[in-house]
Amino acid sequence: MSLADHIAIAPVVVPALAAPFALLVMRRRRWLGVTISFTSCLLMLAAAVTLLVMASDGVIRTYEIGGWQASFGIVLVVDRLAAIMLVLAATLSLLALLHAVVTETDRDGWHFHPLLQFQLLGLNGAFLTGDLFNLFVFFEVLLIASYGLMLHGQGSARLKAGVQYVIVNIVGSSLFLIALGLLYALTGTLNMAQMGLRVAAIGAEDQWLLRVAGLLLVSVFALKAALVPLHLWLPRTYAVATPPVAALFAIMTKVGVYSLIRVVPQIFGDGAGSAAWVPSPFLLPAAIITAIVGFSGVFVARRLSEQAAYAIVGSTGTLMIAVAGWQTDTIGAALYYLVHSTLAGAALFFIADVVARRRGSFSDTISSGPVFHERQSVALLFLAVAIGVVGLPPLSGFIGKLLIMGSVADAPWWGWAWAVILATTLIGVIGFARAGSAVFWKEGPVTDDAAPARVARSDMAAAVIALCLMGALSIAAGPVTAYGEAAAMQVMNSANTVDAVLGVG
Amino acid sequence: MISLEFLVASAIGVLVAGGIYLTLRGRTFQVVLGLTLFSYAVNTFLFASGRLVVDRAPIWSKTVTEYADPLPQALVLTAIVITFGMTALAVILTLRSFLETGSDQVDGDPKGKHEDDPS
Amino acid sequence: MTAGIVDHESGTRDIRKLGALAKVMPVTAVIGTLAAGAMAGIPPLGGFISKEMMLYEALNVSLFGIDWLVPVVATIAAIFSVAYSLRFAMHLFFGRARDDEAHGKAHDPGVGMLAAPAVLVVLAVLLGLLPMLLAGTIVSAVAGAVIGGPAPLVELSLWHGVNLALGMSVLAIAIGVALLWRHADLLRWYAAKSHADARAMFQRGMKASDIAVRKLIVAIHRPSLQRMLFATFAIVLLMIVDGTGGGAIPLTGPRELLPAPFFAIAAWLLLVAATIAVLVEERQRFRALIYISVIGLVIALAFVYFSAPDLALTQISVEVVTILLLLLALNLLPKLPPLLSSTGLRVRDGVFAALGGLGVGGAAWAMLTRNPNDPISSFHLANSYSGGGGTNVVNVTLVDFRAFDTMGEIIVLGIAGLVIYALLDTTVRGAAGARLRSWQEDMPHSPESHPMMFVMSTRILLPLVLVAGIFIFLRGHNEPGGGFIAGLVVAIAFLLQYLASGYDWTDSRRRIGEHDLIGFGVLIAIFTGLGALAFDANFLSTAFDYFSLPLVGEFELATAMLFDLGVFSVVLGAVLLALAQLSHIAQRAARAHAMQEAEKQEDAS
Repeated sequence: MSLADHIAIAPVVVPALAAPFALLVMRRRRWLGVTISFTSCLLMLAAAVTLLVMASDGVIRTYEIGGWQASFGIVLVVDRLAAIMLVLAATLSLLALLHAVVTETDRDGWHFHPLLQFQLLGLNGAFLTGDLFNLFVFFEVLLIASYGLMLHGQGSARLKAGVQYVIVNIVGSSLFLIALGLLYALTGTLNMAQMGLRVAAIGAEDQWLLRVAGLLLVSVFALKAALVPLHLWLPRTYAVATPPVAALFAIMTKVGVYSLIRVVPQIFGDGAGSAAWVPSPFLLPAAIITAIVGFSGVFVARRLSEQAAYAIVGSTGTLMIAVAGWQTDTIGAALYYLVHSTLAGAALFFIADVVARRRGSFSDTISSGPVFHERQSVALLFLAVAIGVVGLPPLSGFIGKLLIMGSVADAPWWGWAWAVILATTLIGVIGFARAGSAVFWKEGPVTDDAAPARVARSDMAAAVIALCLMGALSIAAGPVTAYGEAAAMQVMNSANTVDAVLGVG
Repeated sequence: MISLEFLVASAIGVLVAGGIYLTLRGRTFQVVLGLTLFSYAVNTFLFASGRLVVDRAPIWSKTVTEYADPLPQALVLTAIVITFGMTALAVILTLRSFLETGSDQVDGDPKGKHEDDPS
Repeated sequence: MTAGIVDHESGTRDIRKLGALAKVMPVTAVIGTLAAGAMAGIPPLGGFISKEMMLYEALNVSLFGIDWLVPVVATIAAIFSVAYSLRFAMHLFFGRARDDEAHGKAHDPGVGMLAAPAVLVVLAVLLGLLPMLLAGTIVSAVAGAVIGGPAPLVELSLWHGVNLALGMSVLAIAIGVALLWRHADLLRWYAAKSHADARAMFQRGMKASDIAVRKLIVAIHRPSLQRMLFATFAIVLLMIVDGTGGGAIPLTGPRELLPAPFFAIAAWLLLVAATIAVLVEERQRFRALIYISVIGLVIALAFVYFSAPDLALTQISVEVVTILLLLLALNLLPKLPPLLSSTGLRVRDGVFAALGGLGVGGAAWAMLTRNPNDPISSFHLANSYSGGGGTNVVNVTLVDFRAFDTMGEIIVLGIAGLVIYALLDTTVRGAAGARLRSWQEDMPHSPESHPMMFVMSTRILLPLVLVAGIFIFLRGHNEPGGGFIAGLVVAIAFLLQYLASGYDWTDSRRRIGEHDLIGFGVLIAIFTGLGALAFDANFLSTAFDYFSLPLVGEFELATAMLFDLGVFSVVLGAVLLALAQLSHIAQRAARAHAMQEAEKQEDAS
């Protein structure tokens, strides 16, 4: 057994080592903490890309923690879906880290780098684990780290929003535990693959309990994904978090979506009797309303950061429209759009910060202020990012929406999906156009307190890179969609995962 | 005859009801109390997923053949610790938020005060 | 592109000023007319085929359950595209010149500029004449990529035979031409009707919808925690109701039930009474804490009774720390009476809470009255001693079978400590600092801040508790105990020092910072796990062996114990970090307040 066989745990172990090291040295030397943080993120990206390449052969690899045979111990499952999420998390973390270091946000409070690493540890663990209780544990890790990051920099707005964010999520975690208890009581196992096998044998008189457990679990994931009406915590939390943190949080709602894609076909797939696809009737209406609410928020937002937060809600809605189809091609389209919308959402928060840093007391309000430093380049950047977010050609949002619309074309409700996606795109276009023309086009009254600051151009780096990635995503749409499609195939054929995890025969 | 199962199930129900009621109140301290009740209920619920067994502690011995299910116990232990961390954080955060803003209300309806709506 | 050329050559792109350009720029005119024809879908150009296919497909599509909606919309779209394409060609290149200046300047551009549109137009023409040859493969490939499966067989040809789609095409072209013919009248009608303030109207409409939508969005997203939780609970209730199917469900399972002895009923009554007391005595905050601890105690007793000694120990020690924390926090929180919600709201929440309690309690009952489904834990029981080297199966599960969970768990606790530290560290500054300085001590106060008896007893107790902690730690693998409980016990011992002797006295005698305890604790746990890799085993694999020493006798050493040491360290660090900081702040506040009082008295005298 060589070290390469252990690469599956690298995405968990690397940040788990980096965080305490950063904690131990950072209080004395910031640059050392920054170096550790960057090294760790780069290593994670390398490990994630390696796993992505490895997983491309279609083999589902497992790693038994502690050497305990699967279903008795905890097992990590590396398939295409996990690899995509890992690469996305590592990429996004590098962008957020870059922006934080360039803008020196990491110095606004204690422990930024350790918390960032812990956050990634939680994310990566959640993407890798094949055990439902372990998923809960990693949810808690990523949540509590996110509380710390969200409160980074503090101030009354953050503290107030923080109280709500924390308490809502604690309630969510409690519900997760209730669902877990029910599932263990019914199936006698925590391993998701085995759970999927055992639900098939549950008698008719117990199936209602299984349905309740499934619906509870799905509500918890919907809360994390911020589906209406469980989205109320999001706009404020994201709008007040420091920009690099908000950008990193673009992946937090996707954890909820990921969990749905992972858990529903695996446990509540065709074999689950009357509990099969139990959340389906709720997800589509929720997704449609989420898209509408989110993009309406984009339309009427008064700050760029608020607008970005609503864009996150809206894009989750669009994403869930595809997921709610529960077909291989809809999930495949959803995965492409998931990657895109995470990058696009992050880019919006970056650009909002770039604007805020240049406009003095006007900050990132959507209002006309005095001409500010490098307005033209910032405007162009905003335009490009907005094009990506709403889904106009040539960036990846267009392809993503096209794929989703194509994939749901066979569903009986395709008309609703198309109408909502097209209408919300239009609303989004208007919203961003209004914001752009107010901030970049019109000149407002020049006031004394709005001293336009001269800021180093380097703070645009993260937004530019995110934009380039969106461009790359649309140039490489062919291979990326093929990978996503194959990932969806793996997820939907849960029997393959069962074979890989529990061993054939 | 009252069964132990009924006592445990009804106690969980009572705790959940109390938790829901308190978390829906308007001040942070009540909400924290509600969360505490909730966590008692949830931990007991998770424990109950191993069913109730009397006098069969899962301490392995050659002569004993029947034990209580150890797995839910291990899960509840983990859950208790995590809940403790979360509760502690929530308590400090509500305290800190009160000290910063001078308000411990959570109903989003600060009477007479200007809400920091960006518009 | 043609428009660009015209603009470039004539100096304007205002179609109303142009006309009869065919005379001065014939090549451009040919290209532009063909392109417009293709756009309009005039046979035999390529546009005709695509339009035909689009209309044909539109016939088979039903939207919102209405069959004719899509075809009609498609035909209307086709009409307008015919009209504007033809207008483009006719008004640009034919008719009479309307603006002499533009007309006079214009001439055909060089080959370079014409090449690009020319190539495209040639393609468009060829597409119409030889569709399958040119585009068949491309269409199949693109369609395949978008649909994500094998592409449907696409038949591309000019003549599909007489069908409804052809009819729609002809109709579109006819009406389009008619529209162009009456273009001048239409333009006048448009100008008379609404043209005057279309822009203003658009802006007004935009503003109105902005205000309305903004109101709605703000109203929905009012920053109310109550609303967020209400939505969550409502969804959960809906899910439970939907899950049960609303009908007759077999609630009670077949499992044989255990009769309740008298003391169990008494404990249950105590728990219910304490819960009710917490609810009704919301005003008495300190009393509420006592009731809460009674509930915790009953649950710990239940754990003992139901064969879970480890849980009972953990529950008790966590309980102590939680109550301490709440006490310290409550000391600084306002003692205002709780916000009394309206009776209606209380009734609503009461009903809601009762339903939620019934739902979860019912689920618990259903679960408890059913037999287990061959739980995987039989493996854990069978392998705990032989494979994990410990007889306490719960502990072996925590540090071995499911050590990965425990790793996550201590990290959660460590992060909680860090976040709490970061939160409290800034308390003395800014608005919070000012509020803290004006904080009124409103509880009866002992005249002595560090009573001698308390100080001495805690100092004697400290080494004893430390020994007890080590004992609990070491026996954990085989008997109830372990790193977590040991960490809490030792933390409580240190906290007593803080309480008895004050923060400064204790802090100055501390050797290792709490941050380091957390950092090293996580590192110990991870490195223990990684150590297994050197022995060709998976992450977090354990090893154990039995050794014997003179005097001590035979004892066991397991790598799991090293892992447990990491757990111990993190727990100790996190709890101390949180509670010591909190008590420190309370003490500082009290001292600042006392100093202010003293100053006031000096001023007065």
